[in-house]
Amino acid sequence: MSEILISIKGLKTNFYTYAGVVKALDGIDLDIYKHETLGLVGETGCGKSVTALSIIRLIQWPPGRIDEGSITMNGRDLMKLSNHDMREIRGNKISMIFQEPMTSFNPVFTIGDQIAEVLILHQKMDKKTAYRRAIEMLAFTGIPAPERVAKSYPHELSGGMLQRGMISMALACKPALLIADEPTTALDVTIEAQILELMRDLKTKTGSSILMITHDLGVIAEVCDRVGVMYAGNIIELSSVKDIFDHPLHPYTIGLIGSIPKLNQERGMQLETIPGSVPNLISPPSGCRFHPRCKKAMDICKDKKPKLTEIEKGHMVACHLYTGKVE
Amino acid sequence: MIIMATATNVTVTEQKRKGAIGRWMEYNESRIKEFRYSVRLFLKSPMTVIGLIIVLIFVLVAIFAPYLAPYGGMERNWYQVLKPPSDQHYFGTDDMGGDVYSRIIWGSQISLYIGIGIVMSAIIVGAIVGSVSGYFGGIIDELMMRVTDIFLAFPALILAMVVCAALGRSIENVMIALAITWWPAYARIIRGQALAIREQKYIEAARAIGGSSPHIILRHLLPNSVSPIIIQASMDFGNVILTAAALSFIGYGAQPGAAEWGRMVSDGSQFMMSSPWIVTFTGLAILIVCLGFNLLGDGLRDIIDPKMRR
Repeated sequence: MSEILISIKGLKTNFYTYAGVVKALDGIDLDIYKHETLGLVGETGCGKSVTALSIIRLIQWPPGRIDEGSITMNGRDLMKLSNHDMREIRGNKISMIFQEPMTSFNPVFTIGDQIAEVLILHQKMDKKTAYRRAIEMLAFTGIPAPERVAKSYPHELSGGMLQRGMISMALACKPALLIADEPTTALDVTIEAQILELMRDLKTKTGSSILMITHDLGVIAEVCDRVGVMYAGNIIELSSVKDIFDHPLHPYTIGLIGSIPKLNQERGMQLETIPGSVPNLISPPSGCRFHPRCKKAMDICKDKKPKLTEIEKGHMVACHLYTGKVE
Repeated sequence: MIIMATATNVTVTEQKRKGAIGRWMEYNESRIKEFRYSVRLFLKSPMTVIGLIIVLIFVLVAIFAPYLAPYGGMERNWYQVLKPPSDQHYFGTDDMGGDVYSRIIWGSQISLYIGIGIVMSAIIVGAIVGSVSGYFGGIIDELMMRVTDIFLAFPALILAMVVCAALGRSIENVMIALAITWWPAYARIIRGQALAIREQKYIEAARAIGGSSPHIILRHLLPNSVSPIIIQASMDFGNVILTAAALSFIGYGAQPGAAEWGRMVSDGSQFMMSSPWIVTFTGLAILIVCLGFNLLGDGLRDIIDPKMRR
């Protein structure tokens, strides 16, 4: 938990649309350590997926573009790599699993062929060895009959099975970082539990770091070591999972955790909510992007954007409520 | 790790027990299953089967022409000019004593050659233009599609006539002329497919595993747009043969006297009143082959379209 694997500094990704420039990421600073599971949580449209896609440079231009910032992995700045070098990293050093396993496989090839494809591409294996390795990978993710599954087409398998297949594919080259973009959103809860269990298990076996993107705090609590809370293109709080749930600092995080329905709540009680809605990122609020919805907003919040500052050991927050005291 | 080891052991022993064919069957089990299902669907539609039979007969006749034709394609018998059908000459003879039956058989070779040549070159050009244009989009798409539009704007037959007139009279030049007029249709179809497919999640996934653009186009984009190409090609085959015959008929293409269907109808048309058998049988040959390809194409569309299945 000490060595930094990926270090993101001042990452700004913008989308140039007809309506205007969508400032999707507004200067993200994030370190991902080796062998850790880092969660990113936030509402729809807060920039979780954009962060993930920016790391492997898959933001489509047009309309999206990474305008500023650096992403360093083992001392190499990924932003400065050629497209060719970046392709060597994708799937090999950093791989990604997507939200919908059902559509993430090419329908005209078998699962085995598609997993073998990664190995042929990156490890220069011949077709037969790669296919055999693909079956091994499927077995590795706990698929009961890997030979049969390898020979199946995507439409013949269930979502949970396909997501296991997707994970096999992502882990085939033993990547240093696995980005999981809402890997369980499209699955039902029992399968979700199995997949999360599997990911936790595989992380200890392979030693990869995982960047887990989700909007489900339950998933975070289940698998993550540390968690970053995102709001409107900023990371507003970053700490260990325990600290976030025990004593969240940022008013948004407090609201977020307060809005989880509790089993011991009385019937008929209103669920806590955060008033207002997510700001339009074409013209985001000045200063702290959360201030129009914040109960504890002060004058300074309108003018100055708070920096992500370490308040306690390993607990960082971007809010003037706390930074004021430190200064 | 233990699971991995046992899994490989099982595969190895299983593979040792079976022969090469068994292994192939094993490896392609799901493909074979799909194929069987397609065959069953196919046999359910009688029109498609008729189309397939016509096409198969046509191809076999073309391949085995030397064994099937009683006379040579250019063979002349000046004592047997414009004779009606008899047991010597099943379809009669033409104005130069050529046996119409044999000439139709020899002519099928040329038609098949023309058909394959034009459709294949149209598919290749169309696939390159269409997939690149659809996949990259933006300015590349705009440029390539406007060029395609220019080609589409010309009436196909007129453009082909111009090309033929410029290049001179030969079968190869007819093929070049028709290939030039034929590819835009394929480019359009494949572009349309590419536009839909490039938004699919698996294309993004392919990028995420580090696939390059040519790799993605060849391995993910084109295999997924194969079905409309097959349908279009099988429907087109008849059209191509018909248009090539039409070009020959109006005097481009095959030399006078050559055993080419369009040419034969053209040559025979002078004697339509006195010796109708020349035009009739040759025309019927063109009609039946075109019909066969159309029926087959129609049926294939129904079978390949996944929405019609299951």
